[in-house]
Amino acid sequence: MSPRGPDLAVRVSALAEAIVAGRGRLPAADLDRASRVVELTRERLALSPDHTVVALAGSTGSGKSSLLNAIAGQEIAEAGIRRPTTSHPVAAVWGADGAAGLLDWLGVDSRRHLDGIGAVPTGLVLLDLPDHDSVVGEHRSRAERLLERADLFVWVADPQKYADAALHERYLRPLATHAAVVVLALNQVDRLTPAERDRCMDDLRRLAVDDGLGRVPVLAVSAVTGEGIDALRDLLRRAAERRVAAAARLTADVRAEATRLAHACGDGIPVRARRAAREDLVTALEEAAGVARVVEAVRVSAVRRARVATGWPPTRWLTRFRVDPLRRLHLERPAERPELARTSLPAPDAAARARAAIAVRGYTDASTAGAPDAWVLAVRARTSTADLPDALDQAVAGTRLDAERRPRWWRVVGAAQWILLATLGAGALWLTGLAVFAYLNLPEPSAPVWFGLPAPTVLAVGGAVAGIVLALGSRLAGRLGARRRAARARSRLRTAVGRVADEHLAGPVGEELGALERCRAGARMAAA
Amino acid sequence: MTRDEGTAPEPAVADLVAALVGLRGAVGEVRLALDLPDAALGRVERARMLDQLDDYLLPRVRAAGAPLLVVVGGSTGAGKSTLVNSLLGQIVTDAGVLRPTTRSPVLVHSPLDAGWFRGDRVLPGLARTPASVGGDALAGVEAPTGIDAPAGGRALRLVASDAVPPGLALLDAPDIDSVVQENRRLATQLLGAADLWLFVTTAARYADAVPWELLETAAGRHTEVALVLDRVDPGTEGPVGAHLAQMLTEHGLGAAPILIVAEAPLEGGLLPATVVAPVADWLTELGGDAGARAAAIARTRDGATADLLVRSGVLADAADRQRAADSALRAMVAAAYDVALATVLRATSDGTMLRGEVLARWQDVVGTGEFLRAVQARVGSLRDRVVAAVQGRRAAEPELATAIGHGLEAVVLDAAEEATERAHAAWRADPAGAGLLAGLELARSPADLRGQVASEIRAWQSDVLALVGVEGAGKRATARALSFGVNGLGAALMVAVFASTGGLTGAEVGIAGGSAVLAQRLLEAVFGDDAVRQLTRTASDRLAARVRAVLAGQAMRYTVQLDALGTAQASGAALRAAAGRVAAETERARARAADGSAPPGASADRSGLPGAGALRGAGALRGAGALRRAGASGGAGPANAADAAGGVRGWWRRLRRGPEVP
Repeated sequence: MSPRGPDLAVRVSALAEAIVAGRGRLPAADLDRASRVVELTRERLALSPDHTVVALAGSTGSGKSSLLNAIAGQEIAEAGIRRPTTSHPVAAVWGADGAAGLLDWLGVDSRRHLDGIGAVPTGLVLLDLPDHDSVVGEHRSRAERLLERADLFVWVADPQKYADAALHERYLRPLATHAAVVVLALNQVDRLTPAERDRCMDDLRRLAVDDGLGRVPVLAVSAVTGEGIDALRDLLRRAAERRVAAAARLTADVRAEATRLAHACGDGIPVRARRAAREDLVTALEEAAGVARVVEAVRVSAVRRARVATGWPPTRWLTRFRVDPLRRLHLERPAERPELARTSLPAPDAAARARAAIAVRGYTDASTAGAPDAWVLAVRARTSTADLPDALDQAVAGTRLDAERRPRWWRVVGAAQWILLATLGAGALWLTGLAVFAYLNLPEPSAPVWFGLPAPTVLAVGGAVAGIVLALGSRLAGRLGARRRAARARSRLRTAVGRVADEHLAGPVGEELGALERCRAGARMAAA
Repeated sequence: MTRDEGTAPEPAVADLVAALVGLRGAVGEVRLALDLPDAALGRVERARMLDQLDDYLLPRVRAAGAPLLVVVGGSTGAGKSTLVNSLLGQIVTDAGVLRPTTRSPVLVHSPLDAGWFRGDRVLPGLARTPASVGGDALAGVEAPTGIDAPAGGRALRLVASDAVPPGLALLDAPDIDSVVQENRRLATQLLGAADLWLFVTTAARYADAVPWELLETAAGRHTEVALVLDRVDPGTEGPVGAHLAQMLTEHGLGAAPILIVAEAPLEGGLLPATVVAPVADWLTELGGDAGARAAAIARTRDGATADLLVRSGVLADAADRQRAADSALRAMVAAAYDVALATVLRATSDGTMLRGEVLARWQDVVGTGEFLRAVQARVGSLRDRVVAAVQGRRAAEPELATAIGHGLEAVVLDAAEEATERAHAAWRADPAGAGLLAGLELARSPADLRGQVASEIRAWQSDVLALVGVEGAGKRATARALSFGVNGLGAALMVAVFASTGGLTGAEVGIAGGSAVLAQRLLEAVFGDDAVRQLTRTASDRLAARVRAVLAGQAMRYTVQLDALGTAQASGAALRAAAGRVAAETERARARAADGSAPPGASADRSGLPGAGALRGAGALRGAGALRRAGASGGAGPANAADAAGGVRGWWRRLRRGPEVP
C-alpha cells in the first residue's frame, strides 16, 4: 500500500529539514501544519507498530456504533435513537499487549479488550468515533483529534446522508491523498430495495470519484441484517495482518504536507548568471566608495613623490609645496586596524549612493529570478544598504595603496642627480677659479680639453644639461610608474570593494538561496 | 385584527414599499470588496439581505393578500419530495434514492392562484417553467423526467394542482446540505422567500449541525416554522419527538409544531394517506382559515423587517470599516511616497549632489584646477577669473548638464523604488492590502519609470534654461548675461539650487560649498541678489513639482487598486438612513393598522374566488381527514400519529387565537 520511494523515517527527517529551512520564509501557518504532522508521525512511530488503529467515522445516525457491535459480535458501544449518541470514543481492542500506550496517545478511555474472536486477529484497534456533523461542537473536535491519529478510516455513510456536503467537502476531499487507507461503507442497506441499492452504491462511487477517492473500496453493509459485515471484517483483518496501514497513513500525511511545501518552493531554479549582476554591483559600489578619487590621488601622489625623489635638485623643492592628495584623504599608509580607521573621503554624493542602492536591487532581483515570492521578499529584507557606506570606507582604508613605496630607480636617479649636481658644482668651481686667475692676471693654468672643449666647461654645462634631461626623463618615467601604481591601487580597491559586496550582499543572498535549495530538496525527497 | 388582504397599495403601504426599495438600493450599493476579516461574512449577509428583500419582503409588502408560501425545506434524503408528492396525491417532483434528488425547485399552487406566481412577483431571479398536472389524483405517476433546470441551472417549475387549497402554495426546495453547492445556495434563498417553513428532518438527522444553523436564523427572523419529523421508525417517535421538542425550545423555536410522519413502504411512489395525515390536516386547516393565514404572514413579515433592520446596521458598520480600511491603505501609500519626495528634495538642496561627478564637471566649467581650488575659499574677487573661465571653456557645460541629469535620475529612481518597497511591505502586512497584491508585481517600479524620470529631468533643465533666458533678457546686464551664455548661467543656477539650503559641514565647505558660492556669485554678478534668490526658489519649486508628479504616478499604481473597488465612496451612512426610513414607515403602518383604519374593501380581490369555507370541498390535500376516518374505524397503526395531530391542532388553536388576543 505504501508508495515506492524513500523510507518513512527518511521522509520525516527530510520534511523536518525542509521546515527548518523554510522557517521565516514560507508562511508560518503552512510550516506549523507540517511541523504538526512531523510531530504526530514521530509520536506514532514511537508507539506500537503491531497495532492498526481503525476509525469508524461518519455522520450522526449513520450507525457507527451498531456497526462496531456487529463487527465485534457483541455489545460494545451503546447505539441509540436519540441524536447524537456517542459523545466519547469507544475502542475495541483485539489482543491486549502493548496497546495501552497507543490508546493513551489516542486519548481513548473507554476500552474493551477482546480475544481474537471470529476471524479478527490480534493487533486491531477499532474506534467508534463521535459524529462530525451534529450540533454538539465538541463531538466534532473529539472526532477530528482521532481522525488525525488513526491509521485506517472506515467512513460509514447511510442512504439518507451519503451525499452531505459536510461529509464530502470537509472530510473526504482532504483525504484524497490518503486513498490507500480509506474504506467507504454504505450502512443501512437493508432499508433499500436491491435496485435502489445498486443505484445508491453507484452514486456513492461517483461521488467518491469526484472527491478524488476513485480507488477506495466501497462496501454495502447492514448492521441490522449482518449483510456485508463479513466482508468488512475480512478487509480489516487483512489490513491488521499486513501492518502497513499505519505507515501508509503516515506516509500519506508526510507526502501531502511535503507536496504543499514543495509547491510553495516553486519550480523555477534561480538562474546562476549572477556574475554579470555582480560586476555591475561592484562597479556601482566602487563609485559610492569614491574609488576613482582615491586612484587619482594615488597617481598624483606618486607623480609628486617621483618628482621629489628624481627631480633636478635645484628646482626640486618647489614640488614640496604641492599638497599630497593622499595625505589629505588620510590614506598615505594603510590603516593598521581598518575597523578603527576613518578616511577623510567625502561621504558619497547622493547620486552615487542612489546608484549603489539601485545596483543592490538589480543584483538581488537577478539572483532571485524564478524563486517563490516569499523567498524573494526574504532576500530583499536581508540585503539592506544601510551599513554599506561604513563597510566601504573601511575597505578603502584597509587597502594597501603603496604610497610609501620608493622604487629603486628613484634612488639611483636621485643619487645620479646629486652626482651631476656635484659635477656641475665642480665645473663651476673650476671655471670660477679660472676666472679669478684671469681677473688677477695670473698665468692661466691650462685646463685639459675634452671633446674639443675645456674640461671645466664640459663639467658645468654637461652637469646642468644632463641633470635637467635626467629630471625630464624621470618625470616621464615617474608618470608611467604612477599610472601603473594607480592601476594596481584600482585593482586592489576593486578587490576590497568586491569583498564587501560578497560579505554584505552575496553572502546573505547565497544563504537564502541555499535555504531555498535545502527546503525544496527536503520537501521533494519527503514527497517523492 | 388585521385583515389587510388588499393588493391595491394604499398610501401607507406605498410609502413603506418606497422605503424598502430605497433600502434595497442602499444594500445593493454596499461593496465589501476589501478582504477584511469580516468581509466574507458580510458579503454573504449582503447577498442574503438582497435575496430576502427581492424574494420575500418586497413582494409580500406589495401584495399582502398573496397566497401564503410554504417552503418545504430540509436535509438531503429527508424525504421532502416524497412528502410533497404524497400530500398532492400525484408525482410532481422527482423523488428517489439518489442524492440530491430535487434539482430544480417546484412550486405547487391552486389553479385559482396561478396569477400570483406566473409573473416575477416572488423569486424574480428564477425563470418559470410552467407544468400543469392533471387534476386526477394519480394521473401524473410517471416521473416528470426531462424537466430539469435549463442551462442556467436556476428555474422554478410551476405546477397547478387542485389538491392545494387556494391561498396556500407549496414550494419543494433543494437540499440545504447537498454536495451540490448551487443547491445549497438556492435552498437558502428559497427558505428566505417563505412565509412559513415546513422543515423536514428525520430521526437520523434531527441533530445535524447544518439544519440547526438555518433554524436559528429562522428563529432570529421570527419566521413561522413547522417541523416534520419524517421517516420515523415505529416506536421511536416518543423519545425522538421529545428530544426534538427540547432542542427546538433551546433554539428559541419552542412554539413550532412537530408533525410526525412514520416510515412506511411507498405505494406507487407515495406514502400511505394515513401516514401523511398530520401534515395534510395541518396544512388544510391553515389553508381554510384566511385570518390565521394573514396573521402568520404578518408575523413573518414583521419579523423579517425587524431582522432586516438589525442586519442593515451590521452591514452599515461593515461598510464603514471598509471605508476606514480604504483610507488606511491610502495613507500607507501616501506616507511611503511622501518620504520619497522628502528624500529627493533634501538630496537636491543640501549640497550632497555636489560631491562626485557633478562637482568634477562643475570644476571643468569654471576651470578651477587643484591650485585654484585651494585659493577659492579665500580669494574674494573670483568674479573676473570665473568670467574668463566661463567664456573660455563653454564646451564643458553640456557635460555638467548630463552629470546633473544622471545624478538626479539615480536619486529619484532610488527614492521611488524605496517608497514602492515600503508601500508594498505595508500593504502586505495588512490583511486587506495583502489581498490586493497579486504576486510581487507592485513591489518593484515598472520598467518605464527610468524613461519617465529622465524626461522629467530633461524638462526641468529646459525650465531652468528658460528661466535664465527670460531673466537675462529683462536685465540691463543683458550684455553680460549674453557673454556668459544661457547654458553657463543655467548650469550655475542648477548648482546653486543643489546647495540652496546650505547645511554644509567640514570638508564640504571647501569643495561643494566653494562651488555653490562660486555659482551664487556668478549669478549675482549677472542678475543681482534678489533676482538670484527668486530664481533659485522658482527652479527648486519646479523640480519639486516634477518629482512630485512622477511619484504621484507611482503611488497611483497602488491607489488604482482601491479605486477599482470603489471602497472610498462606500459608507454605511446611506444604508443607515434607508433603514431609518423603513423603520419609520413600518411604525406608521403599524399605527394605522392599530387605528383600525385599514380599508374595509381589502379583501375585495378574493371575492371572486370560492369562499374560504368552501375550500375544503374545492380541493383537499391527500390524507386530510384520513385520521378521522381511520380513527372511526379504530385502526391501531396511526394512533400515535393521531396523537401528534391532536397536539398540532392544539397548537393551531393557539395560533388562531393569537391575533385576537391584542
